Amino acid sequence: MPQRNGTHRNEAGDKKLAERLKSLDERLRDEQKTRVEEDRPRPDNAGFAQAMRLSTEFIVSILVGAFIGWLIDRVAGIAPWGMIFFLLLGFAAGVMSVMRSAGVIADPRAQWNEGSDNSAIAPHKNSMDNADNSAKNMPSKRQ
Amino acid sequence: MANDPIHQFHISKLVPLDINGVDLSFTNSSLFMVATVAVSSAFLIATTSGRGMVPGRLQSVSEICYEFTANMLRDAAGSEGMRFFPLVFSLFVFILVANLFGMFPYFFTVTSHIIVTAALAMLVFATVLIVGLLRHGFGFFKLFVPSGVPGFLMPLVIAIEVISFLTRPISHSVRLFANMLAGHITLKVFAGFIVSLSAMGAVGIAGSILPLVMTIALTALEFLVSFLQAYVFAMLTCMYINDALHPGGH
Repeated sequence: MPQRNGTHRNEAGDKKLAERLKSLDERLRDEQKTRVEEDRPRPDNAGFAQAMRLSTEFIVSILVGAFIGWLIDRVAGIAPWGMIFFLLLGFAAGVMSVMRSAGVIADPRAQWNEGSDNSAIAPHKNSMDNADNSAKNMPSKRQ
Repeated sequence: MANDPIHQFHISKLVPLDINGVDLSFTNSSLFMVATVAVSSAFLIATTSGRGMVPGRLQSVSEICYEFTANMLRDAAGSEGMRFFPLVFSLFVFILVANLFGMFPYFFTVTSHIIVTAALAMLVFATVLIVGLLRHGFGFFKLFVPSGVPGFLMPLVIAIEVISFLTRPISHSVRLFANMLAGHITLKVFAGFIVSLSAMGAVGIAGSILPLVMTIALTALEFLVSFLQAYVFAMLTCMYINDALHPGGH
């Protein structure tokens, strides 16, 4: 009799323990979910971050182009042609980097189709886009 | 002058030190850099020393910091990029803590000086160059040669790519520096308006409510910018590291 009683109690205890573990698991999962969601940056932050990135990159590209042109003018003594040419190149580089990043927002998939028959730099742009994409989608992926 | 918005960026020598004509003085900037490193290290070490399976509040702050950076790096540069985790994490935490330090009244903002941000950006740039050249040799320069470009356009496209590559360290440093500098000046200017307006009698005191509201809003914005700039800096570092590991696409 006492034995049966003991096993019975053990079984009940096991059941209770399993139940408690299960509820603890659930509570932990809920807790983690809310905690993690609270601390992640919202997608509008990512957009703000990108806006800052685009504006500086565009301006700095032009300045770097102008500086290289100025340097070449100084060294080769062909002013103002180096400045003119590299300022334009810097402008092109700025536009390119902005388009690269902005293409991510539009839709990389659509660019794939357009890009193949459109411009010469498209294939490279796509591969860069994917790299950009994975980095930049991150905050929105986590919401 | 108390109302000078630029005054907060003045470097003052705390311990003058001159070695062979090189000025190595310990300045207020150095002091806050040391404080940033000390506070962030102490926080991370203290909160993770318990190693609780169920993290406490502070430990989960550290863990979120870790996971946030690790996910950012893994998403941008793949699991190979995790080798550079110490670099990215240090940069992120240093910039974040330095920016937040700057939000305390009378504290010095380390990241509002371009020499500091430029040094950080050059560190990243040099890492990318060295890692890229060591791993790929001259194949690293494939980064400048996009595939599928017709031959006659090649010189032009390469020149553009080189310019945009050289742009990186500059935009990387200028972005952080300019944001912190401009934000703190704006904050100071609006706070200065309150003082000068309230000196003008009852009308002035009533009017000074407007700049006060603005200052409160700007303070909130500055906290956001502090975090965002650290995040952007770390995220771009991840992307540049990705370029060093996989030049010429994937």
